[in-house]
Amino acid sequence: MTTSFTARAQLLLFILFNLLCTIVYADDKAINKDNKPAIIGAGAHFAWVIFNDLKPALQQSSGRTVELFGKESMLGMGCNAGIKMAQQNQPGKESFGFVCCPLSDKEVHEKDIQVHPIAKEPILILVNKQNKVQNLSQQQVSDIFSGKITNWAEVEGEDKPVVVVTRLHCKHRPGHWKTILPDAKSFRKDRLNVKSAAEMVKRVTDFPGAIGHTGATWVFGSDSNVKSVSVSGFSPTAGNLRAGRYPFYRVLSAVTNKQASADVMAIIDRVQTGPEFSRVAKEYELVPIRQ
Amino acid sequence: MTPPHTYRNRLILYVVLLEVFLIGVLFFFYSQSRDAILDVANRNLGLFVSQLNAKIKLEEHELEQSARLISNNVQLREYMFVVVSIGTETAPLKDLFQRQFGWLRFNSAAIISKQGKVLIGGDDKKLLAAVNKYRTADKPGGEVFYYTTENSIEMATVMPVFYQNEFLGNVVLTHTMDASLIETARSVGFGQFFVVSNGKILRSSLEGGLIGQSFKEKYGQLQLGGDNYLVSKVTYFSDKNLPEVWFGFSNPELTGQLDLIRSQMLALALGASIVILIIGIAMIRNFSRPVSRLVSRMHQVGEGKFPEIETVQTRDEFGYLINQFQDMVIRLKEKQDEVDQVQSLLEEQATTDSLTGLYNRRYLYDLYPKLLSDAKRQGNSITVILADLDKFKQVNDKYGHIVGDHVLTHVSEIMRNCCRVSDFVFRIGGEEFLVLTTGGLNGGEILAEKIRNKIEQSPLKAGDLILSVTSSFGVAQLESTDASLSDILARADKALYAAKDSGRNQVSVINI
Repeated sequence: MTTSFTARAQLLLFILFNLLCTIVYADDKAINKDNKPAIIGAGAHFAWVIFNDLKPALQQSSGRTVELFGKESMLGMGCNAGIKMAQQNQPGKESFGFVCCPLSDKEVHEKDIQVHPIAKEPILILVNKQNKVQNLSQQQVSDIFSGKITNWAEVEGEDKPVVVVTRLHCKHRPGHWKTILPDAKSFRKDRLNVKSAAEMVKRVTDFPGAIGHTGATWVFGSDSNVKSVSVSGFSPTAGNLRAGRYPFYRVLSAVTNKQASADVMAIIDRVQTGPEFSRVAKEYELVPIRQ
Repeated sequence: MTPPHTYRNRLILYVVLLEVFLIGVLFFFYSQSRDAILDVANRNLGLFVSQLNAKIKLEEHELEQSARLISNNVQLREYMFVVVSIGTETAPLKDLFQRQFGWLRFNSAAIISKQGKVLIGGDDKKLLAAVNKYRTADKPGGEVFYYTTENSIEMATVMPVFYQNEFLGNVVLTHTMDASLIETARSVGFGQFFVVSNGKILRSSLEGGLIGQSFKEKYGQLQLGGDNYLVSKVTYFSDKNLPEVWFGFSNPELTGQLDLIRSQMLALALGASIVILIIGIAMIRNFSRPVSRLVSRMHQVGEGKFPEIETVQTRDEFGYLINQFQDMVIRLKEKQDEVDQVQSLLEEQATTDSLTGLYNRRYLYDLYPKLLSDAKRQGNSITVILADLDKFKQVNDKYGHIVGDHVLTHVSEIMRNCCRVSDFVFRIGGEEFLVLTTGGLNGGEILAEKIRNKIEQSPLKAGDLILSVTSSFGVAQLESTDASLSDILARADKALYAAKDSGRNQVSVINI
């Protein structure tokens, strides 16, 4: 009698366990259309911000799980990683990348990829908050970064040496910091080269005489002590950028290989044209390219 | 008689010897402990100083590693580059240094630019002066050197800082040795440090420091503040420009240990003595008491007594011995009783006549001296009544010896019944009887007459035979002139013959 009861109890527990597993599994895959694996997106931080903000809407509209990597360009993420991720796309392992620089036609051809421009992003010229300078001309900015101007007194600031902080990544690609100076050699030699936007902000925070640059989508922490200056009287807004009044910017894009699935393309299209992106673009002063 | 206590004395001696041995051993170890402590202290001193040298070397390495860590830090190099090459303020560098390296173990730090400008740590002038000769890009860094201040010996190391292959300056770290050494001495719990320059104490870990006192070491010893010190030099500081550092133990510290050991030894000796004493007393009591009892009982047995010995329940050797002795005494007593009975029987047989039960002639001669002595002491006289049955031979011849024996028994019974308890009746011959009485001659005559009359009036009845028997009596009294029993017997015999001669069945008395 006892044995029979135990056997029945074990059977009941087994059924309940299986039922529970099925529910959990079903819940996990509920968002996934036809139980397809997640679509992986990875690349530069600044484009990651856009995709990450839109992630719930993208998953909802595509019915696919989207996993994104690239926050603060950690774990080796960046434009190169974004392009590599796009190249690795294949059925069953769908992926795409995102980059913060425009790609040359030659690179697009050699790497057999497609570029899907999303938005123009203003490049902020950062100075320490202690710095009294509020505005610089485009030429002054170029001269400071090139080393022609080495003291803030020369641009109506305090008598304080200028500390140039740069992050000259993607050197073989057009645009981006090249809107300030055309090549790395043109920049002042006795400058600080940093490897991330976070370090850039930190350096400018630490040195009252520092000047640096970063994209408008960077979210500044409470410990940062920096501000952006206007250029030739125009602040780095989407309106000024769209009107061509603000000179420093870069293009944020998604990249895929030529075998990108309809779901991947639909996701990118949703980013480029969807209503949710308008809100994000407004928040970060971005200029959508396809809207 | 008190039994000898040889074994008890031996036991006492053993206990005393044990005590003496114990105290001797403890005293020996105590006397040796002083030398042992000094020897150990000497070895420990050498060991500690060599460990100290190793510790200093380790601290040098640690200081060098800290300096290397700082000089290799990318951010610090960037910041230093900005400060040195671009000429910005030093505050960001100081903040960074504090933030990143504040946890490192050093006393003071300095960052000096290649132009000799102090970027961090400008307060320490002594340090800067000492560092000047090391401020170069050519040296690989990590070299440790020492310099002195008013209050300490400082260990210092210098490490060059490069940014993009450009020499920017040096990072300098210092570590205060005195504080470290004193801290080490305190952590050890005993021993003192002395920083000595030109034979005078600059600093020490002692309270009050003995600063300025002369420090003249000889063969590893010296006198300080009234105490003798065992000292050893910390040889690591080989620079002659630096003060000497010595480490040592004072005698009070060492003897303090010795006093502690002595107290412990004393307590141990006292405790052990008490324990041995208690055990000894217990042993003596347990051994001596049963032996004394046994000896006492043996004495009693030797005196012919058979004491009651209770059975001992203990199963040790003494219990077994006492119980065996008790069995032996019981068996001995039984044998003694048997011997007494036999002796009594033999004595009775030796003093009485087997037919009549009256005393025999032999007993007469044994008893007479005693009676004589008693009579003289009490002032009494002894009277002898000698009796002889008349014509007894004819009875034997006519009726046989059996009837004759019946006659003798019959007469004896009459005589015993007629006499007092204090009188003695003897059968001294075939049909001859004798009575010794303490009464006077008249009393003896009356008693004789009483017996004679009773015999005459009491014929023997043996079956159908009725036989009349008579007896003649001679009575005589002890005279002062009597030299022996024979004298009085002779007179009684003479009286008896007189009675026989007078016709028998009469009493004849001799009066002198």
